[in-house]
Amino acid sequence: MHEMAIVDNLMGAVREQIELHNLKRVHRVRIIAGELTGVVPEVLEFCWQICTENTPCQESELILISQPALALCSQCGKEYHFKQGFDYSCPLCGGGIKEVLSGKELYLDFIDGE
Amino acid sequence: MEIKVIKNIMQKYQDLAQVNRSLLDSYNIFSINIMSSPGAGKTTLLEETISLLSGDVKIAVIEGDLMTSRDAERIGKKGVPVVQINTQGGCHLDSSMIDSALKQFNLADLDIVIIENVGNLICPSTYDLGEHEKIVVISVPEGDDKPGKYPVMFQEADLCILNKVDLLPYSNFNVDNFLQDVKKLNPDLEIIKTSAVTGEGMDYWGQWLKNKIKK
Repeated sequence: MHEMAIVDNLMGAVREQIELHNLKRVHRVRIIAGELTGVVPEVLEFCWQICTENTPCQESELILISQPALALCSQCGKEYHFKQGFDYSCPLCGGGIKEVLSGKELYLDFIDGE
Repeated sequence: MEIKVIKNIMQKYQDLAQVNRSLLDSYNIFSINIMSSPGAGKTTLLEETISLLSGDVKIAVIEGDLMTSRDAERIGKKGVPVVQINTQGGCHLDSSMIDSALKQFNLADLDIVIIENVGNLICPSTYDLGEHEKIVVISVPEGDDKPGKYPVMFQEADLCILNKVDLLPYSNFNVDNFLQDVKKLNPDLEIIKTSAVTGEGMDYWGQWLKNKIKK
């Protein structure tokens, strides 16, 4: 359960934008979260609702875009999508993960407000 | 008004992790972050490691736990400096906690800082603390299926310690299956088999640590 820590830091980043652009109200906030960040969408949403109470973000929509976990195969060098629940090996040759290319990112993409 | 931001949400922690690493580097200290499930034997392994290296290597320990100072008391009895961090329910250590803990040591007098993370195979794997290497400890009673269930931990690790190998004869833990699963996630991950109770593998592990010392 590290969603509260994530939302706490997200709020900090949003607050910066609110001050920078002198926003009175935030309608939508979009974040990009890689599949490997372990973010549970329902928990994140719950934390967001609690943390935004009595702030310009109250009742705003939190949009979570998931980024696939892509890896470079250690054997054939091809890029493949590995996911929890599978055995993580390359579907083409059965090789393992040489390098994770994406899936660890966690960033604030945009905010929509006035 | 739509405002494009593109800002790493956890940047604060990543920046602070870099500050920690630079601080440790400036004192030529090697630092490891030990992670595992609760009860995998991290603290016992540490106690034995300190006994093994005492005299040769100057070690300090940062103990992360949700509650109590029991682990710090155990490590303190070994005669090394120790700082207990209580996360009060938090499931992982972060770089700001390590920043505070490092200030409590006399860094000039240390070779190694060992961070014992909160027992959890999930969240700690995604937080850079400023350590030099991440070590995952997995114990035989937990079962051989853990790499597949907690892929990020095994993917991020620089070293894996398979602990409590003295219990292998009494368990259905299949070492070959375990090694095969680890290889898919992290083909070059070195695995050291240990038992802190019988001492198996402990000399090799002690030497591994000694080889990393920068002084």
